[in-house]
Amino acid sequence: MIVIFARTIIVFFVILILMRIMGKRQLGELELSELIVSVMVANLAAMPLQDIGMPLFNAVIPIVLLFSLEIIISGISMKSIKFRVLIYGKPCILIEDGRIAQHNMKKCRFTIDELMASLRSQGILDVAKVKYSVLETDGSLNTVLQAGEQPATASQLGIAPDELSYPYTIIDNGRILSENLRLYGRDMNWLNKQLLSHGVKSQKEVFTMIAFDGDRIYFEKLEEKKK
Amino acid sequence: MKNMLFGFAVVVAVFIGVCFGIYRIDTTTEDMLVHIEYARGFTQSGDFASASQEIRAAMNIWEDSGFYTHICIRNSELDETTDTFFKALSDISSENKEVSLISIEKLTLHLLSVQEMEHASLRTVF
Repeated sequence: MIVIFARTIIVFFVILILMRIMGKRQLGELELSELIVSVMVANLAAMPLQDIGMPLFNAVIPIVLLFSLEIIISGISMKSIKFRVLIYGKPCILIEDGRIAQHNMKKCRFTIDELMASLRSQGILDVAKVKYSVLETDGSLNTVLQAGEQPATASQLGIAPDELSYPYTIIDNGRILSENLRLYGRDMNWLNKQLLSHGVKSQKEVFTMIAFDGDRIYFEKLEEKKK
Repeated sequence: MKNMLFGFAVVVAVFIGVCFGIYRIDTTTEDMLVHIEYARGFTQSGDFASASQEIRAAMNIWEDSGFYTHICIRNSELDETTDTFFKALSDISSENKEVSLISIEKLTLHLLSVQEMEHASLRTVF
């Protein structure tokens, strides 16, 4: 049992480190080669955990190799467009100017039901309202509405809304995030004054404090523990 | 670019590791096979004590390479090899020439199969 315990920890950290090296992009969307890696790694990782007679290296080596190949393929595809098209394919336009591109639908093996379901998930019910709908290489469908169907922007309406500012979390669950405080351009004296003005003596009494440009503060006290 | 180089480095490192693995298993099995060949000769000439000594020498090489073999070869395969060694030793100690030669042949084939498993060939890949 201790073997499985140790192996699980090793396999977990090997995959964690490799996923970290592959980058955040892998977490949200999967290209073809990334999907292959994910499916194969899941299977390979489980094998030495189920069968302690199998050397751990029999799983770790293919996993490391798969991640390395994926990193190499991603790197080459960033440099070469031809290679990128060869490995990941090209985006496919499924709707153009409110008309379904039947030839592309066939080419991408995309059914009308799948297309309508994707449009509905984006809140679009009428194909005629769509300017372009593109099936991306990661399988997602991106849609651009006709100019007349797009929501009016502030500039089109001639109004000038307040600029959005980046929120800096200064206190997180009773802990001061010094780096964020520095980036916000303030010091501990300012923070202590803010705490006093919100009726608390220490940061330990604060659940979260988020600072926006123009000294606007979102402040939430820590709830008292139930007895 | 850094990540790509890292990927290349890992692939090269794994490839070198695999090549070292093949070299290591080759030298280990070849060393064992030399002793086993001597054992076959001694058995054929009826010198069972010397044959037994040679098999033991081969078995010592096998046991000494335990750390490496446990990393690379399935445990069931390792156990089977050890069993085959013991079977050969037991048959030789019974001083039955025919049975001993069959056991030695079985041991030879088994070690050759362990050696072949590490090599890339159409047979092992597919």
